[in-house]
Amino acid sequence: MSSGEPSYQAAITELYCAHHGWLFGWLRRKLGCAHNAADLAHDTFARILNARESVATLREPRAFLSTTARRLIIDQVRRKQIENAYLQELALTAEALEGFQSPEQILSTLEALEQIAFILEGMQEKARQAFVLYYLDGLTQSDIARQLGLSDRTVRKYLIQALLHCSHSLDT
Amino acid sequence: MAEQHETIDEQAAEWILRLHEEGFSEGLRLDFECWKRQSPQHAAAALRMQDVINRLQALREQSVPAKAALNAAFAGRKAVTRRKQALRALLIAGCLALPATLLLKSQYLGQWMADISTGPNDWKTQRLADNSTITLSGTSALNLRFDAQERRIELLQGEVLIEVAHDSTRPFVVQTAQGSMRALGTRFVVKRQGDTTVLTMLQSRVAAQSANEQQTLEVAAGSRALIHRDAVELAGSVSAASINQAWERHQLVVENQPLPEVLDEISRHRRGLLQFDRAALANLRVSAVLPLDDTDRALQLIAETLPLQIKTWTPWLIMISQLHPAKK
Repeated sequence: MSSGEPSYQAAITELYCAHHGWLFGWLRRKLGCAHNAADLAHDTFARILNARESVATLREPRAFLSTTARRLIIDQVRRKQIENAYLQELALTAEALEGFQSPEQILSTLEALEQIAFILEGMQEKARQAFVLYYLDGLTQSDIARQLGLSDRTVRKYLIQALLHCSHSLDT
Repeated sequence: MAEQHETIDEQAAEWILRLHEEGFSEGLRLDFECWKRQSPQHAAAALRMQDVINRLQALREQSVPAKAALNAAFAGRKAVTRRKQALRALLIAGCLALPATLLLKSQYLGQWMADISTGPNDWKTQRLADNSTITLSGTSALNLRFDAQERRIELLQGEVLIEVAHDSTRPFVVQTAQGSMRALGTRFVVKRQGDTTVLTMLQSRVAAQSANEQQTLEVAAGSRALIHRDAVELAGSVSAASINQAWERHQLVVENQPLPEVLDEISRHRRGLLQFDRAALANLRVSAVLPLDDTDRALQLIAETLPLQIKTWTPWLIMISQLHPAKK
């Protein structure tokens, strides 16, 4: 098998030794679970090996690894789900589309949504809902409390928790 | 050090929330600026949080579709469960050398992702460790579970053409939510279609079983079978040659099939959304050979034979409706 060829193996091994610890640490903070982080870090290297991606001349190895990890979390199936849900809703307000949303805009919005989904991955569900209602919908904390059936104080606690998660998630 | 890091994050979160709560008052803002200047770590923590908030707020004008998309991204996601300990042992072997067995990683991959998947415009052919070959058409996903006793494929979504390499000691099983298909050496296509699995036999035979294990049926070459959770039924015959050719040329061959099913199939092979009223189009039937690599053309071809109106809002959104006879 060609993947056994020494130089490729050496390049991968070097990448692994230099950055596996970092990747694992980042994912653990992001996902809040060491086991899942270990699995995902492993899968990231497995995917690179499988795809025989060239790793010898990487300028930004960490960016490369985190992008690969992101594609594992937000995989094709999930991308399609995001896309369909977004467009389905957009279609309901189709007249607003005319001359307003260009294909480029739609594409960039979908990419933005995908990135947000990746950042939010690993966040506790209620915290994620509160966070989205607060900053995307612009609801007040008491509105959110009512909607989610929580106390005001719990909503605030979730928002803090969500912000911490965001920081961990982007802290590469 | 890590502890300090944590405190900075917590303080930053508290600041950002307070600013929002108190309407971004000038005084508070200045205090926050001072806090941020304490160290690059302080500023960076605030920046990371603000970055995510900005990303969300940038979508405010379209909060409804954006929220729908985010909900869809997390809908039905179970908490990810732990995986095999064996994997961890492998990881610890880590730096020594990445063993070639990593390449046979398939059995370890769990719920994060399918082992093999394709996007809307992809077709992927892959030779497996046992020399069997699988080809996935657009937006399809499957998991591989090979061990010493059996070779198992879980088809999660879409469609796969399988050419099974003979191995009398390890049966080859394809599993879906609706049932399973067991073969020794053969060639067939399995497709997920709503709550049905469609099995198309091109060569030899397999035993198809419903998920509740109440019905098993031998399906022979040239036959098609529908597998439901509680039943397996034959559904007509097919021409193996034309299906082989269709897979080679990335075509969709349909004969007298309801239009919504055909549109689903086309939708799987393109990005963006095909919007249509399933019930309204259910009476229209299609017989055609359609190019799946050029789905615009495929839609055009359908519209040439059926009374359809195809409205293209953007390449991302196409609405299809039945054309009513001209009313003047």
